[in-house]
Amino acid sequence: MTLSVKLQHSIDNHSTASFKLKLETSFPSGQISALFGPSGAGKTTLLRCISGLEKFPQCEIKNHQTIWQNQTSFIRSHQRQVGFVFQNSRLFPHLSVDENLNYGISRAQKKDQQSLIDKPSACNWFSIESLLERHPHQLSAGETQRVALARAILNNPQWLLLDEPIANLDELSKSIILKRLKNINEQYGLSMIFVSHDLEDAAQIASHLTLIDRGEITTSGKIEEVLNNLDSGISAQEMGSIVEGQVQHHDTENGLSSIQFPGGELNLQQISCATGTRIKVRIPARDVSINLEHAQHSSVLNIMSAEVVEIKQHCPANALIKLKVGDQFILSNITKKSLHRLALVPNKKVFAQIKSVSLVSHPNLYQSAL
Amino acid sequence: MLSTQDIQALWLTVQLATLTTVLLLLLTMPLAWWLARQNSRLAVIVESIVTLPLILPPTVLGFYFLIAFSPEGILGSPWVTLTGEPLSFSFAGLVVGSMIYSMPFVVQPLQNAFRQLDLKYLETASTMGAGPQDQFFSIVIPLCRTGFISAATMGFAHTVGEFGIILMIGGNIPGQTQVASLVLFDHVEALNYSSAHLISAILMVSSLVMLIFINTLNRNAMARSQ
Repeated sequence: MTLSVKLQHSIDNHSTASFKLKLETSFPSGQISALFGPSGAGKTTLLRCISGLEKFPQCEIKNHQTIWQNQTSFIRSHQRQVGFVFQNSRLFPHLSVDENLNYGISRAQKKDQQSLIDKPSACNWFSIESLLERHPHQLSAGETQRVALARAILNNPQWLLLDEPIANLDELSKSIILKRLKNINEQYGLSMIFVSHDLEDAAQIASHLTLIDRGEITTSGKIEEVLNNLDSGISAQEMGSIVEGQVQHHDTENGLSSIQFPGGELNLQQISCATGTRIKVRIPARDVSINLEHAQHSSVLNIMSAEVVEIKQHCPANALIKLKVGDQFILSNITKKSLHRLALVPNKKVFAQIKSVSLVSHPNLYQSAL
Repeated sequence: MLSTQDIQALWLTVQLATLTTVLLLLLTMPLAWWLARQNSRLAVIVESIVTLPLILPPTVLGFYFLIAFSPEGILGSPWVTLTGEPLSFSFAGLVVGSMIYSMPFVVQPLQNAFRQLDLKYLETASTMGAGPQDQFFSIVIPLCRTGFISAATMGFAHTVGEFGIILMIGGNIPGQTQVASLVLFDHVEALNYSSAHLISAILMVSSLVMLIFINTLNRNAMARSQ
């Protein structure tokens, strides 16, 4: 069950540079797929093609067995069962919040099925119960975006396309919305494609990651695999790995929680969930340093033995190292000078010092985190 | 007091203006939409033709209509074939003439409203499953409401104020083609000033009321968009 896209198009802008799209990719249904790339890479254009808002002649789109577009046929946007949340919410200015939601409900797309989520729950999910009587111009940016998301979800689409819906929001609103989206995906299995130019946001919620650059797909696959791939094309600054483990115990006195995974134990800021829960954490490559000996007198709590798997020198001064810890991988971004000083080669045993660990996802956490 | 003929003329004026306005709104909507979205040279030419009645002496239009409406004319002869009645000196002829004459007053407000309409709302509606017709009624009409109301009011008021064309193509037949502006002209010619005063006052007050209505509407719309 996938949504597959094959697209070839070049836009000739008489004044500036021309823009070329040439890609072939697919998105798994029932999951959140992140589409990540720099501005102008073609992310929005790809979403617009999927939704039917853009009609390029050389484009083939197939949703499971249904052809949305090929050489001869074109299903128009309103018949595609897609929801689209734009960077600027686009709430209808002549309707109140409540009427905006009703606009989506009365045109619910999968009529054969019970609605995924009913109006009171949607309002509750996005905390917009108190806003129903207001008009769009009376809402803050965060509120507007929450209403737009609720409206799109109540419209009951098969695919929810999210075009940087949180780009203009403050950190708090961002994290609330990301958590809500993840929640809804996990509870209702709603397929989403989430466009972002911030890998941190994408890693928070997605289980599938597609990287796009200058109109071409560079890598695509399960997020852990893409993130652990040194050749993915992600900049060293943004590189990082995802590690999955089980919550071992909470150290309330020091405000820490520890998670256990084959190969080691990681400490992070205390989180509120039962011991034994499986969670994912993200470790940025820039926050991992490498030692040849186990440092005894270090402020860094997380030190674990690892084995060098792969080395990639990517820019004049830096190198990326892929380390194997137990059955999982951690990336480290170090200087070339250190690489030579430590004489790192594949299979060499080292110690990884991890300065920061951030929680990626676990559904049960969100209730308490909010 | 108003005579029966005066009342008949006023009533006919209201009928003519209403029918003209309704037909114009329905028929020129696609044209206004096209003009609002086009930047081609063709659009400039079409736009100029549509606005021509604004500056052309009504008698020029009246003269061309007189020729076209005659039973042998390009509009008159198919009309006779279709209905069996002549188009010249008939109420139907007045409606056709008024529609051309008042067209710019309906097209321009619509065109401006459509130009200001942000297409992104239509895209959004479309991704929510709204087809073109649904989008038109649920998004275009409410968002362009002010444009529609001013188009209707301007079209109506301008048709009421018509004189030259109607005189030439209508023939001033009481009950059929004699509208208020013509009956007024007759009263003045007959030096029947008291009736002329009354009809003039009715036309002036009603026109003023309509303009006050439109201007209030436009100011409110402007205040809202700021």
